[in-house]
Amino acid sequence: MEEKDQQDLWEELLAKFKSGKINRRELLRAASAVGMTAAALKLISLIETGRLSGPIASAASIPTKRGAYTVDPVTAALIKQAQKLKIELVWDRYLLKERNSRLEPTYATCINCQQGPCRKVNHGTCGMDADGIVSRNLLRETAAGTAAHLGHARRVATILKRVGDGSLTSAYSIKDEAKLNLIYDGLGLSGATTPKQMAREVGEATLGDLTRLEGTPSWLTYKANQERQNRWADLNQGKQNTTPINILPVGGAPEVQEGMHMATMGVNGDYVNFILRCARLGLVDAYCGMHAASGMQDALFGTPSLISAKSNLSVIDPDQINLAIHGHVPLLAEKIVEKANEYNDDPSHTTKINVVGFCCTGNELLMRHGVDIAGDYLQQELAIVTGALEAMVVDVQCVMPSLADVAKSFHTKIITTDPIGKQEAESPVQHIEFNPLDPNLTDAGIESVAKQIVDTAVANRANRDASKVFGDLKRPLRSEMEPSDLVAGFSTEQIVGALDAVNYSKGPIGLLVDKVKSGEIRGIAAVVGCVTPRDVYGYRTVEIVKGLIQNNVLVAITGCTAIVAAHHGLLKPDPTYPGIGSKLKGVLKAIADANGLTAQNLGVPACLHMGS
Amino acid sequence: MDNSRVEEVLNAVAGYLNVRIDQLPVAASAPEYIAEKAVPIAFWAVDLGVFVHVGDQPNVIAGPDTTKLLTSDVESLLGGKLYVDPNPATAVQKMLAVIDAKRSALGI
Repeated sequence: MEEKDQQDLWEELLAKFKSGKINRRELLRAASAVGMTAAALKLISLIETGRLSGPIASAASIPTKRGAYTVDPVTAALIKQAQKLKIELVWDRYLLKERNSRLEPTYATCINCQQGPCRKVNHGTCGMDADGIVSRNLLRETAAGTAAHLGHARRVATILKRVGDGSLTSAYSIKDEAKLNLIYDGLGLSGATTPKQMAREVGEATLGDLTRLEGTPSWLTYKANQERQNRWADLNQGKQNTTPINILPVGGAPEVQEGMHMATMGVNGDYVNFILRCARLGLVDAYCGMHAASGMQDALFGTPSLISAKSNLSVIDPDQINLAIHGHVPLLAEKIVEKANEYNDDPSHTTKINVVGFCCTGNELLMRHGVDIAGDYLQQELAIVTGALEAMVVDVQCVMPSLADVAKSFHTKIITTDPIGKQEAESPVQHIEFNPLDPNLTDAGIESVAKQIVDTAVANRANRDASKVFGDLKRPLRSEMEPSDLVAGFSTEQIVGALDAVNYSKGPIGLLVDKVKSGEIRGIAAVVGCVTPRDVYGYRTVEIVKGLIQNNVLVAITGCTAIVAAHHGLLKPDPTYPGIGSKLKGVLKAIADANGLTAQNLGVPACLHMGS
Repeated sequence: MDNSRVEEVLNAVAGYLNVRIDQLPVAASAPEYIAEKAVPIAFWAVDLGVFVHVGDQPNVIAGPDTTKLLTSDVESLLGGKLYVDPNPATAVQKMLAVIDAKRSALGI
């Protein structure tokens, strides 16, 4: 039977099974006739235990409803507009691809060497079993993810060091000296007398952690609690007659290198050893990557505090010059915001620049400057579909290569900046390089790149085709097209500060602990990560957040998860506390009262946006 | 990056109560993870001792022992583990059950 026919038959059978038209036995009989019994058994078990979602739609229509859940009206309207204009979106590609690859996760597939590819097998040519193959694949994935976070930290550390050593004097400065002081002491450094000396030493210590060949990263010693550090030094702690298992890492780059070494052909054949290496890279990611980048960004650009803004694609305003900033590393983004503000401060410029954010660079700008957040990973193509976006400037990570294709139908310029993050150089794409790792980067160079980007957006306004601007975005907006109100800026310092205002006898953390003890706060959940095209847009995140806050669980939220939650009003400072369990509501209201928010007719959301 | 801020809060609470992070009534959820970057973050959360819900399985189910290690046995080593569930309603119930079990173990 042709591969395609088999897929179609399989689709049909699965749909019948899922809708209850045929039972397990009938499905298996039919699968056996086309030689797919093993796959059918696996899939039945996955679907029945809820570990795999079944097919959700055909590629002809992107689903916007699931049960009582509906995609936010702004995104739904723009998806419709894209379909009208025959623009292919991420969901179209997923639904088409999914038809051919739904069985893929049930295979052990190895494509690492030239004895293969080995798939759908219990053993590869080399003899690696299925557990070895999948755990090694997971290690490669973990090493790649870690490398990305290390790359981010390296870029920020390099700039911080250069602010400190005086080779950059005007483009960047230390905005939060108190935070820099804390980090300086925390990393065990001493003797510096000026913020510049501290900046240089913190930058150097971080770069040292990234390349360290022995010892423990100073950021890990600073940030991880002692009990955990002891445990990581010996996972078999306290057990008799066992070999110590040490997952404490050395430096960032050597750990990624050894992880990739381990994942090459013919090194390791023990799945437990692979998974423990993943656990070790998790520590590298957190302490050489995330903690370091987050802390240094606070020192350079300010520690976030309570700030309000709006979210969703309708923050793109056809009456203005719209410039979207997308990616993860906010170094250039900070400068672009500065240049856009300068442009807007000039009274001769009657049409102003509207800077909007995407993904985590967007979250960084939201947290520190209240820049409106236009969208998350899945919405980046739709920003162009508005027809009113002059430019989208990107740095690294989560940038869809499809942007250029979508932009070909509009006037939008896609501006790439980092030397490792280019797109095929066709007409909508322009590369204006900003390389934070370049030792020859100068203050003047940084200013000129940021200005060039702003100028490109301004000049491109004239090329906009008014007939392609999505009508529903014309001001005034209809109520369902209005962006959502949100508050963000919940750094640890801001959370402690807000609790402190209650003036509780046992202090801010004592207050939090006592509210947990009393059950007013049932627990705390961190809801984090991405948005997936595998399900209806936002369905899983929004339903989970709603379920948690309804049950008095306080939610800390970051990344794209925060953005889609914001679109559904879950980050809104609503003084009526809709959908929040009554006990948790009482706690939030008391904090809002103590911080003077209730008096301004505002509340504290049950979902605290902690950043990127 | 700012997921690191969550650890600062957890450490403050665990320190105040003088307990381990895996004893706290907390959970993490990445309901829609897709990027490679999410994988080390999940491992770090497990390293900290946190129960981690993910909405999609990492591509490991062809390896039954690997799946069992990640979703069960790793807990005895680190205190945290992964739990896979694409259904938000049941995932919420599971997270609440974990939170409640940790509450009662703490006697609160």
